[in-house]
Amino acid sequence: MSIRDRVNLVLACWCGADPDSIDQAMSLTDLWESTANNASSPHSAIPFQPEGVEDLLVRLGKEFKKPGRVRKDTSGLTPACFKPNGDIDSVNDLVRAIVVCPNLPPMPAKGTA
Amino acid sequence: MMRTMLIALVAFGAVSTGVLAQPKREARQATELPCKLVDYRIARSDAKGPPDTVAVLCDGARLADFASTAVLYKLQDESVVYPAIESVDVQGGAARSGFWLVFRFTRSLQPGQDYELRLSGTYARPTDPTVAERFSSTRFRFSTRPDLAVAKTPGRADVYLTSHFEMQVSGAAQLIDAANRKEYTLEPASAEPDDYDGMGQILIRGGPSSPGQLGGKLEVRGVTDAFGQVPPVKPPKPAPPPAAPKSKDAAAWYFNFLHQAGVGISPSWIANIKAAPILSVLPGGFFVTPALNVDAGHGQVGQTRTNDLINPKLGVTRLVRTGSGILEALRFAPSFSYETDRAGDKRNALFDGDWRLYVRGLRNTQASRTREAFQRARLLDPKVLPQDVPKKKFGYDTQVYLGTEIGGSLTDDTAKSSDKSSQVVVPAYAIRRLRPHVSSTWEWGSFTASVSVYPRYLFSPENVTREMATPQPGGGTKRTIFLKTASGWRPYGECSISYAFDPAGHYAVNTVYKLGSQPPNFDRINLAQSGILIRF
Repeated sequence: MSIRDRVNLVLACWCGADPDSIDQAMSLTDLWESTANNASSPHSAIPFQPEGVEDLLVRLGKEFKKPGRVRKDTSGLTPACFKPNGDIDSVNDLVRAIVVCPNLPPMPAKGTA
Repeated sequence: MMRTMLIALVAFGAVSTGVLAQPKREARQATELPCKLVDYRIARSDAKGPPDTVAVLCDGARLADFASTAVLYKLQDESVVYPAIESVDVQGGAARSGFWLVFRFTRSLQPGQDYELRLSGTYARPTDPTVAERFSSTRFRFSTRPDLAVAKTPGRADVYLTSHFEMQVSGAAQLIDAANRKEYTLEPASAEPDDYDGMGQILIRGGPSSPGQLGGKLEVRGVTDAFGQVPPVKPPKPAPPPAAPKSKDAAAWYFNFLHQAGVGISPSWIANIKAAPILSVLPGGFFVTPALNVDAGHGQVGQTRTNDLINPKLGVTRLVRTGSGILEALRFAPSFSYETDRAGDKRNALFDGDWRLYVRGLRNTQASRTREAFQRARLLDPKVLPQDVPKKKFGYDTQVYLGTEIGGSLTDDTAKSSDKSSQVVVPAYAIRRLRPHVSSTWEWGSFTASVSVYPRYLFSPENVTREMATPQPGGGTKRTIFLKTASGWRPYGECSISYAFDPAGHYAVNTVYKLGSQPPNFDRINLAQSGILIRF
């Protein structure tokens, strides 16, 4: 699975959107606000910054530490990397940011070792 | 009998298959592709062959299906050269890789050449995959000129190498910075060969922490592009400075020095400083959050003293989402803090256990409601821009906290009166406070009204100092300081109203009314302040 697909799956769990319908050019703030009342992942009371971003970073950290060929160290990303203080705004920006995160050593997935 | 049943079953199966596998309906009118073609990669279908594949990022919603005729033209001085080099038909899984549209040509691409790709065909949206929508002819231009360049990492200050070309990076690959006589180890960003997002992206291990640290003359070793050439490296472009944060809450670093003067009172100053960077993610989903809050001043207006609090903190924070119900999330923020004042009369060490409760229905800000309206409008018309949607007038946000402050003063301290004429020893004492906190904001057009209430309860009596004017035999007065204790309910509240001049709300006039007492000395405050509010 590509890094973009994995990021979209994380975003889907984070905000409750269908991963196939997430617009890659959409700002993460808009994605968060537009899905605030999603039944599977309600978050109308949680602001995007810093709480929503913290939750997203924790989920991304878990996803990209999973065993596999492509593993990333996302610990360098903090809420300050995202709008309004940082330059990560859209889903595309987030994918690019994850792509260039430092690599972690590959770890064979269970059952493939 | 068995044969008849078998024939009947096969016939039923054929009918059902025919019913279920409905042919795709084709929409009559041609539309635009529901995404922008914004980025591309030049790749090889055979690792040893020349580049023959162009992948184009469909920057929008994922397509459920895509079928297209792709016609490739050369460009000469930005004009199309006829006839076309090649026309290929792509469809099904071979035409897409996630959000990337993939076009494989039988003829290889030439290095140092500009191209135009013309596409026409059909696509299906994930919301209705049975309808094949025709899209009008779409053009996309790309180049095979070498373009390996140093770029700033999104969200961070360090750098990486980026290119539109598939790159071969050997184990000993290096970036040579001749001007600074430095060498950096390189590695590919992704080990997946078909991941077009990672293709051509190269990480600089232990690289410079900002683009400015690299010299103007750079070269790579052990890196070849899809044409088998060692690409030149373009030095980093100077990046524009990042935009300033929009509010004190959003700022990691905030310094505000104020000066206050008037007829009949001595000039005074107030410093309002906040430093609260979020440093890193810890295991377990905790974030390290050191913070410094200073709200201290010099002088007083009449009998009312200015705020006097200096409060460094070191803590962690973690958000726990419940996923359902009225309580959507909890945020736990334990920290150790040191509470003092400008004179250093108070030296309190505290464990600050703060919980924020995120309750459904308590937040619907102007910005959220406007974004929601924009999303609704965009569903009806994809061309709608955020500025086309009128800003919502009303909004509100209520924040609920539970908190405790547990600790004590570190030593017996000597406190002096403001005119230094008397002093008193403040014995050490224990601190056990319950600190719930509710903060509410209502927005109406350019007006914002806010109320914050801290009904703090002191379980242990705390030693505080008070001053009184003592008449002197020779006339005049002196300030006499004496010891008191504060305990029980010590509430503090603020309410404010502001009017913003500009649409974004950066500049406003405001009036704040403050009532109650705050630690560490719990001086009673009952005052109104007016001023100009600037938020960036």
